[in-house]
Amino acid sequence: MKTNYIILFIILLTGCTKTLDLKLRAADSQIVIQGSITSQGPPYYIKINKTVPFGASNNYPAVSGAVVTVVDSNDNKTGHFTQIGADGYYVSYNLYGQIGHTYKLSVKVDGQEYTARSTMPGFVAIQELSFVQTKILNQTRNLPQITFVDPAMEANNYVFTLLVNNVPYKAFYAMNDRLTDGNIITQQLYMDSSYIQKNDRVTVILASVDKNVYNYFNVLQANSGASATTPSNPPSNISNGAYGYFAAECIDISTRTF
Amino acid sequence: MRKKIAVLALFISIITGIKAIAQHKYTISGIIRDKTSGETLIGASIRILPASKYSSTSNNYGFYAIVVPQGSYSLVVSYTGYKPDTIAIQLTNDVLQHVSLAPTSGMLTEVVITSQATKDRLTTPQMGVQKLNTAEIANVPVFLGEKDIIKTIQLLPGIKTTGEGSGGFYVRGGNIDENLLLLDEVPVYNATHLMGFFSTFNSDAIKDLTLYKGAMPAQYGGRLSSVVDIRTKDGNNQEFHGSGGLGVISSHLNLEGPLEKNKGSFMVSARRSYADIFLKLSSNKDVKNSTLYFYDINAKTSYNLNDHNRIFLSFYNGKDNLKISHDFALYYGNTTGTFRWNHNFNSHLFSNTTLSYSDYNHHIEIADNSSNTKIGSKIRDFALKEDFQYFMSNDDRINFGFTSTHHTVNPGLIAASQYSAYNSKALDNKYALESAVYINHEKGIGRLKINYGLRLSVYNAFGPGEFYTFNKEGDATDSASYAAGQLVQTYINLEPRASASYQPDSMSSLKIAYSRNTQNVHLISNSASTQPTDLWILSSPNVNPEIADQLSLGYYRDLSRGRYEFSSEIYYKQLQHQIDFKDGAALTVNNYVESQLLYGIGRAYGLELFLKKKTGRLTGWISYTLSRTERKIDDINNGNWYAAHQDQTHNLAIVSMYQLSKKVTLSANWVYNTGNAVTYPSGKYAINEQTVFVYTERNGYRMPAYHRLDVGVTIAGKKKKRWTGDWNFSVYNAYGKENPFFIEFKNDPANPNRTIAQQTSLFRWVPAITYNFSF
Repeated sequence: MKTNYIILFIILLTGCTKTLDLKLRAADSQIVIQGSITSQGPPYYIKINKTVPFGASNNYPAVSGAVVTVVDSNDNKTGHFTQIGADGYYVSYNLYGQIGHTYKLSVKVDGQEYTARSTMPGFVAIQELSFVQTKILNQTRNLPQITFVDPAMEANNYVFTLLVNNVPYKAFYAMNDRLTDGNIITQQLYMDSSYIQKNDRVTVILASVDKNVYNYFNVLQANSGASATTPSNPPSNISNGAYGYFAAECIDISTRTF
Repeated sequence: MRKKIAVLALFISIITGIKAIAQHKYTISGIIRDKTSGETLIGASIRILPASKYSSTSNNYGFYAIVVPQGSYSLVVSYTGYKPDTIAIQLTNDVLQHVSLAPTSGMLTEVVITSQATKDRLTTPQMGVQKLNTAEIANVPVFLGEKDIIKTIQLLPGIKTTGEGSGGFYVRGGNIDENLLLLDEVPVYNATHLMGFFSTFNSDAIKDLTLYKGAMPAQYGGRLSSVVDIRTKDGNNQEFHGSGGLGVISSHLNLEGPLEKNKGSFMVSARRSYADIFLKLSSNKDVKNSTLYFYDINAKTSYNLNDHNRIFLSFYNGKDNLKISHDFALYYGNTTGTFRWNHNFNSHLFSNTTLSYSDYNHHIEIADNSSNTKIGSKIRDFALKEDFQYFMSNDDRINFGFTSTHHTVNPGLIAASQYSAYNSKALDNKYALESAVYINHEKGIGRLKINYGLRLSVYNAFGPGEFYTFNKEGDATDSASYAAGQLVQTYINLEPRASASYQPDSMSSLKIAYSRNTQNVHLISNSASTQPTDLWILSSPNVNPEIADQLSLGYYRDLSRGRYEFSSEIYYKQLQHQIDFKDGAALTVNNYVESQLLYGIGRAYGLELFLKKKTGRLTGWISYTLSRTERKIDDINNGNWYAAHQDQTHNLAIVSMYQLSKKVTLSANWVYNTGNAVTYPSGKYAINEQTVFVYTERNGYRMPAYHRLDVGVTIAGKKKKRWTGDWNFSVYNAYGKENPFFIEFKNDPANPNRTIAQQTSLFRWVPAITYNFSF
């Protein structure tokens, strides 16, 4: 809920910040698997890395030598993924994501198998990408907002991705239609550090996803920033204790220059 | 049914037993008041000389009764801050003797504190109790100069604040919703203003506060951890008076006077904050257009019908209006009302009947150019309560009674305009009747004093509505439909309470107590600190009553002939059916809200030490708590025990007031506590090129230790005819410690390839100036 904004408002008036040197324990390195099958067609990527301790630099060791497949369980087509580059990416060209199909991921590495499944929901189009001005304290913020029509009488889950000048903006956006079923929805994409500037080229990807993928991104969204919620690991849909997610996404993309 | 008969039989046998004992004795009873205002005095002590073993204290309505053999005596009545009064009595039949005491001015003197009240602290079997009146806290420096009795109790052992400058508190490891906050006997559901920075209790209106941290008398029930029994002033029944204050953040005014001299009085107290007036000075349009205020109104009237009947009518309304931009606002508030009737059937039997109403509601408002949406929820109670006190003999007293509360909860409501993205929706109201009968017997046997009682609580959830069954994944697998008034679920709990005190000598005592409490209204909050928008839910087929069992032991001592008092208590508390929620839980306007909940157990234990200096130029106290609070909830922390957020190992508060001269009083507080238990990352990875953290356990880390010094000075102005005024200057956080309010983990803005921990602190050096006046 947005009640946190009132606390944030008070902090903006009176608060002050400083960097702390905390002694954090280093958790054992764990496998992280992420990737999606989209309605946009191949190539599809699955990325496999390892976690690092908090104090380390943001370079996550790639996992090599994994056997990665995705099976379309509706037509039993199998996509075999091959490793490319040094960052842990695996790529496949021989699948085509289709609405209503369920995709099953299998990753075999170091004697372990990690599996996940996800079903691609129906298509929801972005009606309009526009910009909205909000003023909080001394800052005028230009935020992108998208308008779309939520299909009535069914549960819909969405994950949004925002790119500014082709660089992904660092925030997680997830919403479902539990309270907004069947309506025209105008969704602002909140930004808390940099905002949209003149001539910025803004891209928004609306991904319709299944409930498990929504749950994953919803917890990431709740964990981020100055949240009052006790943070927790997002509920991964991948088995065997792997971090990350596997999503079948039906997507629509809209781009506009401010 | 069999239980009810057993309770009734016990009751009858006790009542009939009394008659036999009381035959050759007579009762002195009456009401103890302040001579200048007619205000009743709670907890005044009554002693009989020369037979000093006969003693009593006045109850919550100032009523006392004392049973003494035939003879001639002196009745000595004393109360802290008042001149004791001695009255000669020839006791040949029951006597009605009202007593009015004159207040002393200035310092607390030796005479006052060696009174009976200090002895009662030792002799009573009641444990875990703290009493405060507004006069005592007048000079304690507080945040923004806003006197707040709830913030002062946070400086006592076993009580912890929910956060910087907060009016919320935890008692002995319990959650915030486990405190029963009674304002003139009505529960107040949200006791905070301005996101928790202030409490809803306006000190101007308050006469007396009693806090029970455990071993609550059987007349109290319905919450696990504590009872905060707050009584407002009745109003001056002698002459018209006013008082008030002008402060940085708010101003308040209190008016009181007689409706009919010696018979009836009224009191009206109002307060409004005006932080938003400063916002108006801003050049920024959005800051300017923000509203950020709350108000409170307390009103009370009391009337003495005759020597045996008195009635009281109290009312409270408070509201927060927090609108921070054109597109978002939050409104919340409580309304309570109480009608009470005191009746003494005879000098042995006192009764109080209470009819009450309590309402809490909140809603947020989201607006844009074309639409407006309100989302909120509400809880409303009607209650009837009947309490009896039977004074059998000096050391023998029975309290009994019953209570019944009808709850209506609206778990969620959306009112959306035509072009809103939200759909209008109103969840079905939930209805329940929460009832209890209780009996409590206190008896003295030589140096031993015992108090034992039983509370039988009966909870009934009623239709209409759908009640769901959920599987482990949280999907509704079954539903049952109930008609209006149809019984859905009954929970019956027996709550035994027992305590005993033993005095090895006249200066010290040992106590032991056990109590069980149950709770049927639960606050569901998906944040570490509570928010006004948190949801109250009722026990249901899915949600069991929460249960707490507490055992405590204590040692109490008066030192230096009563100049100092010392107390120490240890406690162990076990909690059942504790409620938490799933990660990413959707709690707002959710028909399946119970599917989002997780259940478990808890335990809390600790040692509390308290040393108070009561007289002289320097007064104050030192309070120390060593404690542990843990939870074990299914699906959280892999089902292992973990420290609750409010777990703080060490907790120290030093409160001091020094009377420099007749006009100048200096004061200082210093507090120190171990940081709260929090969840920090133990690793990281990237999802979609963004840093995501690995959490290995719940609350496995600590916030940095918190400490703070507050200082204040009060300068009394010249007394002019009726008008007295004084100035209060204070600095909260005098040495400007940057205590973290929260810690955020994020990429280093200076080096995006690293991550940092950044703390945000709320306040450094908050100075305040307040002018208080009375006329």
